[in-house]
Amino acid sequence: MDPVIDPLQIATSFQHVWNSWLQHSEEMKQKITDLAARNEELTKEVWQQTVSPDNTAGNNGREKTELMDYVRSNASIARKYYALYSSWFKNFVETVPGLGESERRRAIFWTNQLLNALAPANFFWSNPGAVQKFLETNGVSLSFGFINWLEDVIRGDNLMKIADNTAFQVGKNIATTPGYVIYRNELIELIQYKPATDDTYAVPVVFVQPWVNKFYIFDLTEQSSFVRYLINQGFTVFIVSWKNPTPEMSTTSFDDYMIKGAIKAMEVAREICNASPVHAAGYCIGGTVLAVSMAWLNKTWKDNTSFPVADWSVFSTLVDYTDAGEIGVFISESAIEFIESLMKSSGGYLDSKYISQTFRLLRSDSLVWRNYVHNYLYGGTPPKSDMLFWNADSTRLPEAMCSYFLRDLYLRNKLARKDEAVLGGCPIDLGCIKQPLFAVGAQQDHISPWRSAFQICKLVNCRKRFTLTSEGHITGIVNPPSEYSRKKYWIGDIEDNIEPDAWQAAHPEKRGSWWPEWLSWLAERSGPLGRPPAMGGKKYPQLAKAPGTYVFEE
Amino acid sequence: MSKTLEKLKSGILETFPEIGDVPISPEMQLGEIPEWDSIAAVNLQTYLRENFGIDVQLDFLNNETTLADIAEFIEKSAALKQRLS
Repeated sequence: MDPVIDPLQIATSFQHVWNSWLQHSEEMKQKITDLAARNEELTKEVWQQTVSPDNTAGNNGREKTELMDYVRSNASIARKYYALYSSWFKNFVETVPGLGESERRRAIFWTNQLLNALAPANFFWSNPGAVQKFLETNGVSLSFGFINWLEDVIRGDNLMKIADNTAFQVGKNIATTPGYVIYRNELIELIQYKPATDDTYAVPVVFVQPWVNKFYIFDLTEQSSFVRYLINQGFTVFIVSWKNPTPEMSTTSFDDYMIKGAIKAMEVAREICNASPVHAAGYCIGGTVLAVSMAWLNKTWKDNTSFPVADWSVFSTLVDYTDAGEIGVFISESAIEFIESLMKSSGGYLDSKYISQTFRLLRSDSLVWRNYVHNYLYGGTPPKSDMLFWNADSTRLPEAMCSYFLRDLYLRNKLARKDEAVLGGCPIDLGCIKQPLFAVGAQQDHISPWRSAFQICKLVNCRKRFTLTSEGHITGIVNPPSEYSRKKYWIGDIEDNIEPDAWQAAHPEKRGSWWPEWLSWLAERSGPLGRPPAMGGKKYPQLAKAPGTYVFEE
Repeated sequence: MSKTLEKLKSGILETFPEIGDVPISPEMQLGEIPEWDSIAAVNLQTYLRENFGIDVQLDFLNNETTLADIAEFIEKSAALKQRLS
């Protein structure tokens, strides 16, 4: 199909599945015969249940109970047929002969989208909870649902709310750790947090945050704040808050994110902390830019002073995009051309609504249809969740950076090959990085699959320690210790060219949060405790209180 | 089944209607909820806060956590609140 009509290759992938089956018509016939047989079996079972005396609705004579019995019974039947047809259809797509792996994955992804949309719980009459609420509230629940829908339509992003955005205010009850913006340029604000201990370690931590959402994922509530956890343990912490791109920033490149962002932040933090090299840490794409910054610095550093970074850590970060997980479904020449045309028509950036839509599609059962049921069919208010509030607070991406990121990193996988990517005028070779690495992957991560995140350890030649956590892309990293924790993790150094699963098998499972392990690793490399550094200084005056100003840009 | 467990059971059904005919028992693990993931845990955390007035840390709501574990946590939290008030 014409890539202009079907840039995401949705119809094309179904067409390929169908064409492949047509070439194996005998096997297809068998599958259809199996479906017919299972359908007949289920129909018999359902019929028997329907005519069973136990199933006679309304035996107490109350209309509402009669109706609810009828709805529950029908919903149960709908779920049975749904289970039969959805599992058959999934199998039909998964087992299609002769289809390439990436095409198969694309077909499976869009099949799952279709099936998630058709789940009986998404329809009023086959969702007993929705009917029950309607009866209990005399229809008010559905009226509220209609109002919720209307608000979403008026807002214009075609997405139902995932969090109650009236429950949180940045700087008031979220992102509240005290500190100051001590540096600002056209791309970043650098926040230095106030120390919470009398003495602090000589080596500060500099967080390079992802720029797809706002920086404060590491400073949600007091209980879950990564920043607060570190300052309470005697660390000086700096964090990068990125500017939300405007049309004027359309030419801002990945190189700018490296030089004016990550490297500048490390340089400023280092100066404030009396030239002490820093612990640099990057999350998601922030880790990617940190990795290239490390390669760039190692190749270009000719200063007589010591190297500016003592060690580096990356959390849920990809540098090898061979298997980029489910997001790979959106990576093809035609899809990137389509995204580039969207950026051009928006005036030079990728609008945050497209980014939200994409990430929500990757988990459409949790981030689309559950909200659809809760907000529209139940007429409920979206959850008051700090994490979901942050998730909904996404940003735009500048055209030049986004295009480079998708084409050269995702599609052409240049960082995985020595000297292929050229950034800041320098070929990037991750193998030349000498400083020790602490890398974290998350088992349920669908954005940066952990086996792919593991690959960074194969591309660098420095000392490296890897941690695998049992959770997802966010909860695996925002992982505060707690007495009730049931999380698991695996940790160990990597010395050989070992494969991810073999590495995991060779390490014992541990319980709890991995944060204390990282803290010990940092502390070993943090020098003596002493008086905390000044908050900014003459060269770096306090420009604004944390969380700064860029975080409020919509 | 205790009252807490009964209320919890209806909350699970309301929050995760896709659970359908999967039997909900005290021994049921959260990982048995279809498509259980970290976002589902956030949804359940919110339900517990709004309906039981308790703050559960997300890492308690793991694949292996049973409904009985959650009910016990709710009852202990309620008892503690009562003692402190």
